[in-house]
Amino acid sequence: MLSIISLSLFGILNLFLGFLKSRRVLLPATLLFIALAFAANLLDWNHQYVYFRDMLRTNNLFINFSSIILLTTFLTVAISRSFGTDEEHTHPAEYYAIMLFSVVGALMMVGFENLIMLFIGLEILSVSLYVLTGSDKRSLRSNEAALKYFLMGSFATGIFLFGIALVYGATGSFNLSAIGSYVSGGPTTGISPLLYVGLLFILAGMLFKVSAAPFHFWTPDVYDGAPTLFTAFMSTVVKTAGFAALYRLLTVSFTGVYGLWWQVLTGVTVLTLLVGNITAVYQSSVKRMLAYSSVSHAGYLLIAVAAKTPQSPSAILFYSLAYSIATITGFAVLILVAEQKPIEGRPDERYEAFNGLAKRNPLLAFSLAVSMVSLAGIPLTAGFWGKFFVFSTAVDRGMTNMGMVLVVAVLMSVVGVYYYFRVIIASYLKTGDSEPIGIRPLYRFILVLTTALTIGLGLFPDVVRQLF
Amino acid sequence: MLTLILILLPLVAGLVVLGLQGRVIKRVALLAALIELALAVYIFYAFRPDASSQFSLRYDWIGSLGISFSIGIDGISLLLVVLSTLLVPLIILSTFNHSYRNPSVFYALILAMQSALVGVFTAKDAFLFYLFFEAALIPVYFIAALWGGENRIRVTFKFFIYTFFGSIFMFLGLVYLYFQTPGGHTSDLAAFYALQLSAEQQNYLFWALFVAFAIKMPVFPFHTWQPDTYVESPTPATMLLAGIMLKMGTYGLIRIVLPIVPLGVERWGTTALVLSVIGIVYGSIIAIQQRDMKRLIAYSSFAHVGLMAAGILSQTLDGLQGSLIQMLTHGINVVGLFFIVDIIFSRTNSRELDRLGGITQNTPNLTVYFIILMLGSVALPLTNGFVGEFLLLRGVYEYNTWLGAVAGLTIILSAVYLLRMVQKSMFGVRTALTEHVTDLNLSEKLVLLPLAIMVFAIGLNPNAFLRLTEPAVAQLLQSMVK
Amino acid sequence: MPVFYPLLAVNSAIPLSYFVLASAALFSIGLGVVVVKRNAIVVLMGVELMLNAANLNLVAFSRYDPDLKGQMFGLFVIVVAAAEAVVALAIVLLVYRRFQTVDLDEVNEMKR
Repeated sequence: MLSIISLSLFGILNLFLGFLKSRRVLLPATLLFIALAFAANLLDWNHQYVYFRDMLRTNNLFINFSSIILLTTFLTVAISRSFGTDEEHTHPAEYYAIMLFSVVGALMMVGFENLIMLFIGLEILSVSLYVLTGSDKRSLRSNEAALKYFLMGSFATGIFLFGIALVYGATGSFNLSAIGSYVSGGPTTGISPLLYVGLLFILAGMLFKVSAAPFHFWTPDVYDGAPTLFTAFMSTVVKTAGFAALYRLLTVSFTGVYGLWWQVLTGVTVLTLLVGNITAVYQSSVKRMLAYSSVSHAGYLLIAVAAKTPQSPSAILFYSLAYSIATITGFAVLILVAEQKPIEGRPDERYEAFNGLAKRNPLLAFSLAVSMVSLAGIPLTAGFWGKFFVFSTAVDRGMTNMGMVLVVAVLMSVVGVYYYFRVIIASYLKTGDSEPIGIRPLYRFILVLTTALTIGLGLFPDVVRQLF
Repeated sequence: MLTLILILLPLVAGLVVLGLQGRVIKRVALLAALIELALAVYIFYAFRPDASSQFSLRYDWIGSLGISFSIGIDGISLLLVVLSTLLVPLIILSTFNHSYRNPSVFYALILAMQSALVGVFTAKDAFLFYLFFEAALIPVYFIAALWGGENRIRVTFKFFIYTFFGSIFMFLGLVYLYFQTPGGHTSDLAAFYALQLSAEQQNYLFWALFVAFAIKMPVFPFHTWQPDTYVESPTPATMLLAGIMLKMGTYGLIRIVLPIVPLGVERWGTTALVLSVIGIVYGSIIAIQQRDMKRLIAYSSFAHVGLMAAGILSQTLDGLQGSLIQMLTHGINVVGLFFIVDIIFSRTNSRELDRLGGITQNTPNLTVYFIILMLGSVALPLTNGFVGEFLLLRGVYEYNTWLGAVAGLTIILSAVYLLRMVQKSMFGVRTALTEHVTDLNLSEKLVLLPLAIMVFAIGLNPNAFLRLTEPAVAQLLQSMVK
Repeated sequence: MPVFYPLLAVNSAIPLSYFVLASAALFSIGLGVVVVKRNAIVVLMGVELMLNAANLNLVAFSRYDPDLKGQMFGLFVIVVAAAEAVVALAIVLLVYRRFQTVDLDEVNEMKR
């Protein structure tokens, strides 16, 4: 809880720091703020608190999810260097502040006990991201992405909100447990049809935010158009927060109608896996490939939600952690490689830009390879255990229920290997420019850190899993 | 403890090699492989010939999930550990006349590969087995893709996807089995053996597991990655693939498929056996038509491995014993043959049978070794191939007379294509390419001599190996009957 | 909290079902506008219609809730919608300045 309050204050503080006009102060200050929030967050470990008359709840699950969110934010901020193509017209303090605010929204989505908080958290996160998506003001693509993201996002918000209203109509409450007891307690008159419709609307809205098919159509354009730094931020933080919220909502409030949403979710899962992976194969831009890959990872995460076993939360946590670290690494390398040789003023994000990367900078190539291998789910990386835990929940639920989903998931992870390895092949096996790429010490440190984390978690997943 | 050293030594040596430069790289790599061999020889002699698992080590790896780092050596493992530790130093020695780009990476990858292979053959935990099984894929992929021929990127990528495709189904099968274990779940292979699964479960599991190993070996119709990969890879990678890595598939059949899903084997074993036998005939017939020597040996390897799979699936003592000894034999022979093709290629720049001929006039040593290894592959009595093929055929014959008869064609057909290869390349009229072929140099002799000795050693005294594996195999078959 | 079932409640001058139907109609119109119209401003208006349809529902249901939670939520929604509109208009203005149009079919840099 302290983390939410402190981050809101730090965000405002950051705006004031903007008067100093000095980026040298801003970046360390923001990193410090996030680290402080991270530490403040840990104070509540092993305690259960409920705040503001049942509005927010903190427990170990909240702390785990928010720690992942804060960690990814820390990494993203650490690799930030400039905002937009036009240096003197950018206001870094504001972007850092907006990032901190959006994290506040994400944390609220993780800890909500009341649908009001979920709605407000979701909106804080989304509105901040609309701004960040359009932050490269001189770029047509960034503008277009912001517009599309805004229109699609607020459309989803409308559906989501309407769903909440209907659920309120059926149950008379916004409180998660109260809704839960209505749904599973079974009122004498039977469950109101309003609840079913409301649940479906809420599901549609949430699935939209985590970009699951068929609600994913905005993802590629928005991820492609947004500045790469914020694409990395969006594809990790939103996904973690979204799945935390989705899981919490469905298990606390709607366990009673598991039979209904299980069917919907398995359908969506299969579709998401198929669409995400197969479309990713046909991309010629690495950034777009990563956008579709983020769709496909939403599919894997949905498996754990749909399975709903006692192990599901820890599976979602581990998967989000592994995915976030690897994705940030991938985007970090992409940022550096793409800006080496711009095409028509735009960064070159095609696969060809990675040709011969191993010669130009071995560290970049290696950390990229590790992150891609982790995303593909190959053993001895964190991603493998993520897949392992997710598949385990499904097998635990039973093959009659989840067998079909599992077979699709397994086949699609083979497809995943195909497009992830194209990047590795380009950087190790093809020849390209030989001009070395230089990296700053902080950037180097972050890459080494994420790579070490990915391999370390791949060797000893239990270190983190004991906490989950 | 010794087993752990066996796994870690090549890995550590690989990391050391990565930091070295110049000529010393090859020597350090060779030294490490020889120390590894010495360790394996020590284990070979210290091993008690019974069914127990020896030199075991167990360490709780992921305690909360019941996954342990559990390794040990029984008779079956021992044979394959000996095979891989014997071949790797020879493979490294065989590269002494070549200079590869980035040698430190090249040798580090070979050593990393060995580490993973020994891991596969000694793992006693299902997920550990899977980890090593996958980990072995990465180094060989990079060796083949970085130092291979013209189409290497496309071909090796196909190989990678293909084998990954197979193993991920195995992974799913293992996860399923893991959840069948009682209580807090464990992935100990012994616990998997003890499971009482229904026939229906076993039928599905059989295919999930079998496909992974069938692709690795490969068994017809999962072989399409193999010839191209063998041809496009640099010879050391081909040797690793054909000599050791395909044994991961046959080993998996013995270690995983037979004991865990005996009812599945009973239901689908015949189908799989028929596929293997088709592979024998199909591979042989294609081998007869090949002009490229490397491709010819690739297909011959495909045919031979079909017989090994058939022997295992026959579930008889003879079949299993034969296939185990044949794994050792085939590793030795195929590495030798690939090396000889590489020697000829290095002298003449050609592997085309039509453009070669008359090499023997300048090269008495090469000819002798070539013929010894060829006869070993053809399974002439007193050579190593004879023991394995004889037992294998007896096993398959015992299972089904007709299949045994068809599988028996392998001896005739392999004689046809191998004799034809030797005759066309070594004898006959000299061509422009073969006029100035020189005989073997010292390092080449040092590779071929141990191989030739092994051809006769196994051929004359197969019991040295068979007595080690027999208790383990007998126990395995016993457990399948339950 | 007592469980209740508002659709059956009759102690009101205008039956609840009227409100629910009206808001459903409003929502459908909003949805239709978002899907069909190509002008960014009009789409924005469609989104606002959807939000207000939800608001109408919340307030109507709130009539049967002694705690008036629905009305409170309604207030939050109005605030959030205002914040959203601010950002939206800023983005639309920016897009208009760069593209000289707010037609969604013409704002299509990515496909080119």
